[in-house]
Amino acid sequence: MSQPAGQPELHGRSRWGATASRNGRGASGGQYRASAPSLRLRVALELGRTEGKLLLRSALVLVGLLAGGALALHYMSEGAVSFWWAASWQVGYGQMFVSAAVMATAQLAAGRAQRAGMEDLYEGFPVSASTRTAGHLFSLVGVLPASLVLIGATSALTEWHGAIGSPDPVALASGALLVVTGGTIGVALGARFPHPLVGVLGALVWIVPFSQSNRFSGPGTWLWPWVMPYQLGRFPAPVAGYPPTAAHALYLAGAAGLAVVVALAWRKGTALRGGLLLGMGALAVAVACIAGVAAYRPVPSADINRLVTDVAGPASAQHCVTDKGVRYCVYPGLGAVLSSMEGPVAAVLSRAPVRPARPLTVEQTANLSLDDASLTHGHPAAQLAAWATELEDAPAAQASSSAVYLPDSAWPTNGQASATARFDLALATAEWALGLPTSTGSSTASQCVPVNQAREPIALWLAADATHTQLGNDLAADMFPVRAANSPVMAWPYPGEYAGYLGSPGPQTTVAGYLVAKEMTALPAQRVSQVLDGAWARWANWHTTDSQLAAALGVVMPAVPSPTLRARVGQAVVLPQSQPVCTP
Amino acid sequence: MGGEVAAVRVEGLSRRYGAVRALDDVSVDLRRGVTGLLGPNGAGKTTLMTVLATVNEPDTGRVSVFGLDPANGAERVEIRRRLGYLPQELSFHRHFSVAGFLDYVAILKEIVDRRRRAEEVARVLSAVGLENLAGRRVRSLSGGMRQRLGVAQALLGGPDLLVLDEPTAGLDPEQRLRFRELLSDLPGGPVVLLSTHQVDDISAICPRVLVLLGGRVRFAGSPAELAATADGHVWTADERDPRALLSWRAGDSRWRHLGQHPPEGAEVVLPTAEEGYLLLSHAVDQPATAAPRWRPARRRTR
Repeated sequence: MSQPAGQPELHGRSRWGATASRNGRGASGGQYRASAPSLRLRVALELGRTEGKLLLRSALVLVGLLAGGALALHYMSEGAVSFWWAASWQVGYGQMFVSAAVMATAQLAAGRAQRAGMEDLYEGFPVSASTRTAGHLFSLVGVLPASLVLIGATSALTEWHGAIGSPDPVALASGALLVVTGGTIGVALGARFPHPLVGVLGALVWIVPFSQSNRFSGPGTWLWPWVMPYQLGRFPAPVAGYPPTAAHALYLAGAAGLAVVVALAWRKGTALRGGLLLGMGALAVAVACIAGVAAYRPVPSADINRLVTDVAGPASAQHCVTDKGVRYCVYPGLGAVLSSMEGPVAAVLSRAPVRPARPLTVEQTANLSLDDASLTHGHPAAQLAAWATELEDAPAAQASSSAVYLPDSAWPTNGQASATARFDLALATAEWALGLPTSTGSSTASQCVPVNQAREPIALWLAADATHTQLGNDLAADMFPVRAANSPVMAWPYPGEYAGYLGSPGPQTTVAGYLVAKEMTALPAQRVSQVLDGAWARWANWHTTDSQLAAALGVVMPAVPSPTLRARVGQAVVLPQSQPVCTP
Repeated sequence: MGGEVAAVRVEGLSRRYGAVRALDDVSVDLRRGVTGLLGPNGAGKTTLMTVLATVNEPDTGRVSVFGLDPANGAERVEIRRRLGYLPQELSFHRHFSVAGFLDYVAILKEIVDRRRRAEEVARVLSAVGLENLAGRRVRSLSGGMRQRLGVAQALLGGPDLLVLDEPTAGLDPEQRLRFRELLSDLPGGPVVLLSTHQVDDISAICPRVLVLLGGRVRFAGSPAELAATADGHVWTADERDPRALLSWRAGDSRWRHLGQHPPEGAEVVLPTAEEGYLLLSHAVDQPATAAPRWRPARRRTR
């Protein structure tokens, strides 16, 4: 056995073998052989089995698994529909925590003998330090089942929540690979640096780029252990080669291989010859480099072209169906959300006695940011400008009186968020039925205000009644002043207004409209319907006021708080941008 | 190997730590059976034992263990396969269970068959009387229990060479008796090198004893021969004798003296092995088996 050059002596002693090769006595040439490879392998496997059990029982790993699970649940509780092409990567978020915990624990295990002062004892055993290191490396297999269970559970929950598309097995497997890579780095650290804080510091260094990856975008992010491309979850369909899943998995494998070589090289008495270690190291570096270069390759123009076209002109890509006179257009593969869109629309239409002549279209939209260099790097500026121009015509930013735009990634299918989104869609439908704009564009200046118009509380009542929503917001906390045709008006944000369930919101709802709608919801629905059905054309007329509606319903017109444009007492008056009054 | 053939042979062994000469031209043969190693702190006992345990390499000299040369990588591994070693200061993985720790060590001794490993762990646990504590965490063991655990790990695999550096430290009298019995009954008659400060342990179980002083072997022989080196140098009296090198009150309240020249008419008594060792330790400049020449005791650094 030869000792790697530079290996520090323990306790000031020289070791057998440290000089043996120098004086020519180190070579094995007699009848005895160092442990046969098969025996070394069996020993390493047995050590790995024992260390694997210890690893699994470690409190740190348990905390990592719990943190990973909690993170996955957190992302799911956000409520938006999941796309598997993004969710497969998101599952890796949880594995990053597990990976960091395994790294710290593996470092503790690999440095245990040195830390406990047991090297003297271990030196007297026939099993070499490199075989012990191999055992620690094998032990990482022990945490794989836990990692896979977490991946499986997270994936099952994602699927149960109605994720669109199919899971990417390579991206999911990369989560487990991430755990192994973290563990191998931990073993390498422990082989050289036994201090218990080294593993913790290593885990922090490992996890910091991950936690900060949202700050950067560019191809270099693929060199970090795990990144979540920030707009992947908005794409209406997966983009081939983006993210570079296979290349990133290979990159992780290369990093793990390199850590294995370093761990073995840092141990004295390794049974592997230096040349073999060098070869393995070179192979690992080559794999990591080739994979890194592959991940760095620009996304083909054709794929981005298709993506831009899908976003800017969804009609060419979407699948449309007409139900009860309403046209629904969704991206291919997203048909599963159709029923959740049809419900609130149909409920409102069943309550409106008359439909306008103009059609109603409920259409999915998608957002795309060309500022994301991880997606667009490597393409000329002229090409980027052309794509940007094309995206300016995207429907999400357009005003319309007959189309409701629903961002594909924001539509929730479960929980309270889903109820709120359904209310927003119902409100937009009611506004269409009453002649109000369904979409006012992306600018606040273009968002009209239905000042003292009876159709506003009617629209709110229709949406609330159709979706069984309580209009119970804390008015005093929520209301805010706006300027409508240069006159101050107290506005009220409807539920979900800021959540972005609608690609482009309808009119700015007012406090007056809200208060009248609240009074309406307190009345029997049949009585309200009788009043509305009897004179629908009058109520849909923009000249009909809130007071007239209140009088017809037999309720006292609620007192509306006086509008003020003073933002705060003692501070300068900030006048909000003037918005138009909604007209026919 | 027969009883008279040296199973372990050390020739001209020297080892320095900087300016300190820990071993100085040590030559010794070890045969099957228990050999006691005596010497004050810093005499080089631990260095000699670490060399024999193949964890330390001498500067000069040759070592042969069962005909194997530890300087040869493959032969060194073979020696380690036949070795049980208890270092002087043994640490433990404190969160391991007693059985778990032994199982781990058994793997490191290349016992890969799980059933055999379990049997072996049970055997050594029983041998050191820890069978009822197999599931206990190491961190919850007393010092004496840990020492027994250390002995147990050394016994794993039935080694042919047992190097035990102060194994009885921390053991209570009953445990020491049990340990003596354990060493006397070891199957296979291994070569045992036992370092201790307890001369009565050596007298009880070692047919052969080495005394290491200042890095050199000063005595090699039986405990009786060691005692005999103090023949005529131990006497008793009612009063303390200022001419004696060492004086202590015996159990019968009389003073027992150790010195070069008993006074006229002194009541000379038969010495013990401990007195032989004490006499030797005050004559470090003398050859190993030569008659001791007295000089004042001096403090040593090793």
